[in-house]
Amino acid sequence: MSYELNYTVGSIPLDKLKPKKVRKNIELTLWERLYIPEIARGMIVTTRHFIVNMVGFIFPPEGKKRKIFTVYYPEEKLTIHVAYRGRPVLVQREDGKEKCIACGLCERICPAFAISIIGGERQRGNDMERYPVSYTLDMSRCVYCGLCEEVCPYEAIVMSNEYEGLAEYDRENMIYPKEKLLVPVAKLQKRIEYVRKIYGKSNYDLRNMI
Amino acid sequence: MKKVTLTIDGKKIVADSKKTVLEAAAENDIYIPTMCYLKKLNPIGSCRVCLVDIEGADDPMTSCQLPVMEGMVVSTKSDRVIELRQLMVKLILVNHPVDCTVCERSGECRLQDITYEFGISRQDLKAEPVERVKKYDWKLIRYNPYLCVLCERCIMVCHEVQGVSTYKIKNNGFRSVIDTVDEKPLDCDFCGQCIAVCPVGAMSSGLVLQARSWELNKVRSVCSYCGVGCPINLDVKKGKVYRVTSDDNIGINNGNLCAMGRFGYQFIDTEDRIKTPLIRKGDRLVPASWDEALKLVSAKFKEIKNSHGGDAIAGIGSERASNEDNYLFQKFFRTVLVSHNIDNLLNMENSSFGSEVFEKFDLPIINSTEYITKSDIIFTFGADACEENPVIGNIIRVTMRDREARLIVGSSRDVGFRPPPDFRMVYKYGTEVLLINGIIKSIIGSRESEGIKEFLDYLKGIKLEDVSSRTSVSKDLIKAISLSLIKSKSPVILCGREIYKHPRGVEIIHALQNLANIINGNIILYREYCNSQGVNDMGVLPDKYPGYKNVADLEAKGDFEKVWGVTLPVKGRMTAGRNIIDDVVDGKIKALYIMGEDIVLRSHNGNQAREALKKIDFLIVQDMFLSETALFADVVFPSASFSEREGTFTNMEGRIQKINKAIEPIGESRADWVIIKELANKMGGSFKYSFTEDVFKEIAAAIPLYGGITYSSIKNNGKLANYQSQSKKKFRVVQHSEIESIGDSDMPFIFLSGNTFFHLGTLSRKSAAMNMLTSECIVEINPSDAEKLKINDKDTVTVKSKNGNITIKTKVTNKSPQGVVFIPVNFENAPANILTNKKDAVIRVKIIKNEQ
Repeated sequence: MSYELNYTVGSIPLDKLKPKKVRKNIELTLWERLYIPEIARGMIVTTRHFIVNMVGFIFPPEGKKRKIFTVYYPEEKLTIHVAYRGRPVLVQREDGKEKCIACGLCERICPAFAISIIGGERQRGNDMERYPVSYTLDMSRCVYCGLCEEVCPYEAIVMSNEYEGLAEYDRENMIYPKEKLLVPVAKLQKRIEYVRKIYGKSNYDLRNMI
Repeated sequence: MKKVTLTIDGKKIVADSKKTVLEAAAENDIYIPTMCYLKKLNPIGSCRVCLVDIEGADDPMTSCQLPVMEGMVVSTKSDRVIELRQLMVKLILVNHPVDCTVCERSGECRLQDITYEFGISRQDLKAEPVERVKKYDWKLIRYNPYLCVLCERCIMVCHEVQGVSTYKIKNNGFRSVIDTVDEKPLDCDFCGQCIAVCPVGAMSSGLVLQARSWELNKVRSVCSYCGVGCPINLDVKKGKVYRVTSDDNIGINNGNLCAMGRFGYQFIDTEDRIKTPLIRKGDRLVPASWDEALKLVSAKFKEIKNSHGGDAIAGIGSERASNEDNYLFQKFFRTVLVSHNIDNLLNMENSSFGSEVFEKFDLPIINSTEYITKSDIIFTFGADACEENPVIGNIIRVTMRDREARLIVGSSRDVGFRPPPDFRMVYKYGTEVLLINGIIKSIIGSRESEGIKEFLDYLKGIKLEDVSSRTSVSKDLIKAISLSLIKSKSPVILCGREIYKHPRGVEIIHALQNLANIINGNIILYREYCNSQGVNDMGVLPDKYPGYKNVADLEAKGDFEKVWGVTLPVKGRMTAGRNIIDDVVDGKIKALYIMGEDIVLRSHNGNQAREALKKIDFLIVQDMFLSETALFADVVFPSASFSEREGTFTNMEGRIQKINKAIEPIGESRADWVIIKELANKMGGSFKYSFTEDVFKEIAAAIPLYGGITYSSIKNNGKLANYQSQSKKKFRVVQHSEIESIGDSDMPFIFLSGNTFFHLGTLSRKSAAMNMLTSECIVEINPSDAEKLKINDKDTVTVKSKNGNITIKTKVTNKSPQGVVFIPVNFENAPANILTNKKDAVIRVKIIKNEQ
C-alpha cells in the first residue's frame, strides 16, 4: 500500500513549504573585491540597527512595553521548542512499565555506541511481551543526534526537553540505568506527536508495511 | 554410480543419477532459492520456493524433490517461475505477522532473507485472522503458531535425526498448526534441534534470547560435556554467552546437539562460580588474593617435600580440563615435585581403559565415528546411545536412514533405541562374556572360520541352551542376531559406559574382539567426558609418561629428561595395585592436589573418598564451583571455564579440537595451566609459557601421538591423533567367571548406575535449564518389582546396600528389567556411590518404602 504525504512541519503544511534560493559560486565584482566600501556598508547596517533599537528602547513606541531580551539563566529559563533535542528518555506506559520492546534497533543505529540493552520476556495479560531487562544509556557518549528516536518503531525512546543536570564529576554517574531514563508518557505527549509528524510515523503500522 | 547429463540454465552438467536437481545445481554454483530444504534431512517440499521449469513439463516442479534425468533441460530463472516463487512467499506472508522487531529470529530469518531477495514490497493478498494458541508450557521450547510457516523442518528433524517423532501437524488447510503427537505439553529429549532448524521464529528457545542475533559474535568452541566433542558456537555479546548454536556440515555432529550441549551453558555465568582464591581459616573458606594462596601452597609443598619427599604429594588430573592443563599438571609433579604420584579418575577406576588402552587390546578401540556412518550393521553393547551420548545416537539414526543399516542393542537394561532396533536383547548383568561367546558359537556353527585351535576347542564346550538360560536371552534371538551379523559387510560394535565401569570390562572387550575378528568389524569405545582420552594421552598416569611411555623405561626417562631439562624420579607409584585414595587413607600421602574433579561424587567408593579427604593434611582443589570435594579443601583455586580460555580437547575418536576464548574469565579465575605455571615458577621450576600455543608446541614435540600437529593447523574438524595401533587378528579364550556380589540375603536387587539425559558431571547440575528438566535423582525400578513392594511412581524410598543408604524418589519403568534397579550418578543430594564400595563386585540393594 502507499500512504499520502499529509503531515506538516510546524504549522506550515508541507506542500506550502518553498525551498530557499541559495547563490552558489559567487564571482566577486571589482567593487566587492575592494572590501572597504562593503565594510562601510556593513557598518551602516549595524549602526542603523543599533540606533533604531536604542531609540526604541529609550522611547518605546506607543502601546508597547520596554522589552529586555537577555534571559537571566538560571533564575529565568527559555521556553523550549518541541523540536529541541534534550536528553533521550524512555517512555513509561500508563501502567508504569516501559514501552520499549528491546528490539535493539537503537542500539544498532547509535553512532556513539551509547546504548546497551539486555532483553527479556514478561507476562502481559495472557500473552508474553518483550521488555528490556536492562537498558543502559551512557550519557558521556551520547551525542544527542536523535537517531534512536527516529529509528524506534514503538515510540519508546524520545528526545525530551531536559538539558539540565547532565554534567557530572564522575563518569560512572553518567551511565544511566533504565530507572533513571523512564518518564511518564503524559509528559512526553507533545514530543511524541511531533516525532510522528516529522518522521511520518503517523502512518507507521507494522502490519501494513508489506 | 550412474551418471546423467542434464542442462540447467544452458549449462551442461554431469551429475550422479541419485542426486536431485537442486543438489546438482548447487554443485555447479547455480543458485536456486530454498526455504524448507535442509541438507541433513530428506527433501520436504512444503515451501515450493525452489520451483524450476522443466522443458516439456506443463507445470514447474520443486527442484529439491526432483531427481535428475538424462537429457533434462531445467530453467531456474524463467519469468513464470520467478513470479510463482514470489506468489508462494506472499502466500506465506499472508499469515505471518511482521513482528520482526520482537522476533528472536530477526536477522537470521530465512523468510526475511527471501522476502528481501525477491524484492517483495507490497502485499496484495489478504486473509481472515485466525485465533491460534501460543505454547509456553513446552519447558525449554516455545512455539508461536502465528509465526509458523509450516515448513515441517521441525517435524522431520525430530523424526529422522532425533528419533523422538514428537511433532505433528494438527488440523488442516488454513488452520493447521504444529502440535505434539499426543497434544499434551511437550515432553521429549529437549535437544532443541527444532529450534535450530526453524527458518523463522516459530520455534524458539525457552531461555529467551536476551540479545539480538546481529549483535552476537560467534566463537567456535567444543562442547565441554561428554566425550563426543561436538563443535559448537558460543554466541557472545559484551562478555556474556547468550546461547549455543552449532553449524551444519562441520565436525562429528553435523549441527546436531543434545539438550546439555544446547541449553546447558548457563554454568558459565552463575552466582556459584568461585571468583577468588579461597583459603581455609578455621572451618571457613575465606577469600584471599592469588599471591597469598600461591605462596601458601608453595610453602606447604616445599615443607612436605623436604620432610617426607615429593612422593608424599599426590595429584588428580581432570577429564574435563584441556590437554594443556593436564600436560603441565603432570610436568609440574614430575619435574618440580619429583613425584610420579599423579592419576586421573578414569585410570583409577580401571587402568585397562586408561593407561593400558593401547596395549591391553589387540584391536584399536579408539576409533573414528566414520566407521558408524560407513557400516551396515551397528551393534551397541552395554551402551545407551539415546541417553548417554545422544549425538552418537543421531549418527546411528542417520546411518540407519541413509544406508538402511540394522541396529542390534544389547544391554543389561532395556535401553532400546528410537526408532526401535531390529534386535534388542536384555541380558543378566555379569553374563556378558557368556552371551558374546554364545553369539560367536552360533556364528561359527553355521560357517567355516579360521582361528586358533584352542579357541575353537573352547567354543565346542559352549551350549547355546546353557547360554540362553543363564543370560536370559532367548536362543532364537541369539541365532537371529548371529545370522544378521554374518551377512553384514562392515559391522561396527559400540561399547558404552556400562562396559568400562564393569568389573569384567576387559574380558568383555576381549570377547567382543573375538567377535569383531570373525565378522570383520570395528569396535568403538565411548568416552564419558570431554577430555577423558586426552588426560591419558597427556600422561596424568602414575606409571606412564605422556604418550604412554613406561615410567620404568629408562630410554623414555632419558628422552623426557632432555625435553624438560631435569632429572626425573626412577621410582614409579608408591604402592602397586592401590590408588591414590587408598594411599591417602593409609596416611602415606600428606598433600593432595585435585584439578577440576569432584572425587566425592565420582569415585566408585563415596564413603572412602570422603574419609580420605577428611584425613588428608593439606588439600588443594582447583575448580569452578565449590563442589563437595572443594568443601574439604584447605586452598581453593578458581579456574576458568572452557569459554574463558584457550586449549585443546581430545574426544573419544582421538580427535584433537580447539576451544577458543569467548569471554573474559569470571572474577579472578584463571585458566588451569596458568595457575599451575605460576605455582611451578614459585617453587623453583622454570615454566616459560606465554600462550596456550607454547604449551601445545611442547606437547607436539614431546608426544609422538600428537607429533606433526601445530596449534594453528587445528581447524573446524580438528586433527586426529596418530594412534598407531595396528590391528592384530588374535583370538583369546575368554572364559566366563562369576562376579562376587556384595549384599545380604534380603537384598534382592542388582544395583546399576549410569548417566541419563540432562545431567553429566558437575557442570549440568549448575545449569538452571538442566535442573528444570531433571531436578531430582530417581531410582528406576521394574513395574512388577514395584508391585511386589507396593511402590508407586514418585514414591520416596530408601535404597539400602551393605555400604550405606540413600533416600530418593522412584520411577517405575520397563527400562529396568526385573531384579535390577538403576540410579543415575551426578546428583550430589543422592550420591549413588555411597552404595558401592568395591569396584570388582556386583552390589545388591534392597528398597524400603518410606512412610509419609
